[in-house]
Amino acid sequence: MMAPDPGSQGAIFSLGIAFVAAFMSVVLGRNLTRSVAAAVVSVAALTFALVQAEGGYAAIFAVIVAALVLAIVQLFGWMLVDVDRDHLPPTDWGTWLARSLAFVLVGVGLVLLGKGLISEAAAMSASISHAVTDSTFSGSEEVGALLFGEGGDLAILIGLALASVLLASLMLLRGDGEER
Amino acid sequence: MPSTVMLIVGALALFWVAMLGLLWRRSLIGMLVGVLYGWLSVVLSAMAMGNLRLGIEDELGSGSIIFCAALVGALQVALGLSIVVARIARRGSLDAQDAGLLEG
Repeated sequence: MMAPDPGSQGAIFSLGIAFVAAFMSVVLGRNLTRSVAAAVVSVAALTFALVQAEGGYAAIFAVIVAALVLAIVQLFGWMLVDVDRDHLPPTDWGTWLARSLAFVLVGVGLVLLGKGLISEAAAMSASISHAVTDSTFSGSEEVGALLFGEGGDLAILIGLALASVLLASLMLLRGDGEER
Repeated sequence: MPSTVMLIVGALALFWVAMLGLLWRRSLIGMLVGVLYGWLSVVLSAMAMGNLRLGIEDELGSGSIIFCAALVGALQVALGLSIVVARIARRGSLDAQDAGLLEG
């Protein structure tokens, strides 16, 4: 297994921060200011990750558009609602605890999947780069071999995990409307 | 190669957050932020595709996909904001549950 370079590690770390902040901005949706602030942190971390991953001009364009959208949402919030007030009632503690546990499990699962996939891809990249002499399409071949060849089981696992996470989230959140 | 896999995993994770924001329906603003994350996950996927060299002119290919996605995202946000403004003007509430039927 190849050791990831510091730039790649920094990008992975900031992508993790972006994911956590994005999740927080959705969870903190009761209060507009907190929600938008978490979203700004998420976009900033994503910017750092994309710069580390050498995203190019497309990455700069994307984060500028994302920042503009957030600024417009904040501006409309200032104009339309009391941004410092919680606009929805708090969730009762039992539901809050169950959801927190479920989301922690989802987070741990995603981190483990990401780590497994990255180490698998690095190992696959090392093994295929020795075998393939034509480097033009090596990236596609590596991912193809990873998802449909030796790593097919991993791809199926990721698909099943994502489907089950979405279904579990829907089941957990189904009764939210009746609480108010 | 690891950065490409990282972008794919990040796009999947952000797409999950976007779906959560849209399906949870905590507030109309939260749903707008969810739309933003959905758009960002498309951008990450396009960048990963550019890294995988699926097109002949790699950077131009992924850049044009991102530009098209930005146009669609801007239209989505404009439409969503107009719905939010109309909703607040008529009902004075950000509650997405009450807006389920989109009645006037």
